[in-house]
Amino acid sequence: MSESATVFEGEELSGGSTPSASPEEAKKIAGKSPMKLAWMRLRKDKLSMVSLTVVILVVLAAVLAPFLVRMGVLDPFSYNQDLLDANTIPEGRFSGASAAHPLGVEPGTGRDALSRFWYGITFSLIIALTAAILSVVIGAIIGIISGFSGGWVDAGLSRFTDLTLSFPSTMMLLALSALGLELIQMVTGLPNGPLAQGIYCTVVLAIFGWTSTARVVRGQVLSIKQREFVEAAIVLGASKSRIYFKEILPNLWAPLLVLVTLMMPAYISAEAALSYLQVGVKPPTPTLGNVLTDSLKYAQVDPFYFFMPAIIIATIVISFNLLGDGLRDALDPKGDR
Amino acid sequence: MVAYIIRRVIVGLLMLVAMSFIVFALFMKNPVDPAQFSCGKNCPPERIEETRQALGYDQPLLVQWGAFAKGVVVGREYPADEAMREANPELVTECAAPCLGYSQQLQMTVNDEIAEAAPVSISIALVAVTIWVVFGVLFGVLAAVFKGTLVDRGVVGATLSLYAFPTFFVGALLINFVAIKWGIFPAPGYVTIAEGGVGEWLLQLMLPGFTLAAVYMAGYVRMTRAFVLESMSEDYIRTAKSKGLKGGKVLFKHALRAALTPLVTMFGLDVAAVLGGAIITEDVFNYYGLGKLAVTANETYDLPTIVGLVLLLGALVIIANIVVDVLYAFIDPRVRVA
Repeated sequence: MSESATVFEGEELSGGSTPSASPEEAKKIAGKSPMKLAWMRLRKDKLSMVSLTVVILVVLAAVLAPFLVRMGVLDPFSYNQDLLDANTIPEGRFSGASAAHPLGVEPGTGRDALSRFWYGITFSLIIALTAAILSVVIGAIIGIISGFSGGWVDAGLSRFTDLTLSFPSTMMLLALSALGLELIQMVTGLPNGPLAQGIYCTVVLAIFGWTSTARVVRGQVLSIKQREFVEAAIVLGASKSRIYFKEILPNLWAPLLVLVTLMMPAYISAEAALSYLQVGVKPPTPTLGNVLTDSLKYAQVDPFYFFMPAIIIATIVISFNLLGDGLRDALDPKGDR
Repeated sequence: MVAYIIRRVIVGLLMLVAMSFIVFALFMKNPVDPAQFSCGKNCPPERIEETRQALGYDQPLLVQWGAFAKGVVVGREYPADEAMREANPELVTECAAPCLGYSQQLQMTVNDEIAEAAPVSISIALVAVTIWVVFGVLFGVLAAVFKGTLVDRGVVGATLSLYAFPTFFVGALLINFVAIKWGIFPAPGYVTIAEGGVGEWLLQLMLPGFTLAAVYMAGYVRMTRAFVLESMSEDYIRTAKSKGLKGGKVLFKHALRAALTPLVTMFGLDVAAVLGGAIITEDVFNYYGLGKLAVTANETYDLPTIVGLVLLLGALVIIANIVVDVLYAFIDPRVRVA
């Protein structure tokens, strides 16, 4: 992080919204980096810490899952039809939960439910995270260009943002699926499998998801470019790229981090919706959306299997949302709340 | 003011033109043959050729787009190919303005499909909008008034949880438990006012309406809460309080009025979006609205229907944008200058 940016952040923070802090305390705070300060504020917020813990656990679980599957600890694909009754419903309570299958087995196939849910988190998180990063990169580029250039470029890009927002996104995600999937197969040479379907989900979510980032970044750039340290850099004869990447970009990390955190839950839900509409990653690959869609059929006969995936998705979505809110408050102490 | 409105309308029209062109380019000019798509999954080659001519897919993109634009403005006739129309005059279908296309699979104009499905979507939207606005604003105000208390946390937490569950799960939950198992509501099935009267119609819309409202409620609670808190800290509220106005009067006459203004923007755009059909809600409940029409069209590769629906929805959003901007300029004169 550049010196000027640090000074700017430090200035903002030390003059921040803690009028009750004693002069000594303010001095102590001024000596810390902005990230450390944000972390200190975040740690004080219990709700954010709980959600951060859940998010870390979820990410860890997602990272570990492929290894556990390879080691044979998790087995999301083997059928265990001996555990099902004549109507292919798991025998016993809680979807036939046992030591070997802690959350029971899937009705119809007898696949281990925990393995399906757990491995599903991995696929859903990969899609959501890639789409979120892609959206933020596209949005940041458009926002920076728009905010800096001003004039016709700004007007054009802003209208383009409005236009993208006007597209009925759910309908486009649905309608583009057949064409999009075929295009991806043509361009990449991939067969029509989970990878091509995953790429379709990711790309199409990003194409319709960058607009919020572009607007936020444009607004930030407009205000940052009038700050003294940018003017100073210009007067000192700094190059355009230095101003873009060394002076401006470091000040954008905080809002971009918040945006990614808040996009994750939206994209996890979107993945589920795509799976429900049969245009996401197709079974038998487990994603949270696939597992949940499959569970709808068994709402009456196997309620435990019906509720589990929904509760998992909701927990993850709530945690990311709360963490995003907490991060925003911690990184921007002058915010409304 | 007039100049502002004219400028907004012109920009909106330009955006519509741009959107229709992008949609055409996306669906018609790509490596995948649109005629094969529009003809359906198991279509013999000679039928594909026929479809291509009937829908005008053999023409260059600009000609196709021009014919579509002309159809929207003054109406057109199908098949698009003149020779085909002359050969079989009995097969010619009139598509009155604003013509959005012709579905070769359903053998009807997209306008007729939309006219059939739209009342269902509008009904669901009406109920959903009422639920989410009334409860969203009510809970938002409650949360703001009792800021930091259990009420605040409970309201915000409950609506966030509701939002966190995927729509189709909420729908399936309501169908399977509230309707079928516990029998609190009748099994879902759309009933028109003409068939069952207003009461029956409304009753059958409660579950899908609630499902759709659940998605939006959390946002409205948060926004209302934030705006009320913001306006409660304004100077004129302090003035109102210090001149001895009662708490309730300050809240409703002063704070709420200012707080609700920004909600107008959100409201306008959301209404436009749900009017165009709630895809997942309609699919879960199996109500044949515009959203379900889109799902069916996608399953059967009915390209003209998809294009028509996308453009209709896009147009709704663009129009809502203009209306909201103009309304906003009336409410807040500062906007006009910018």
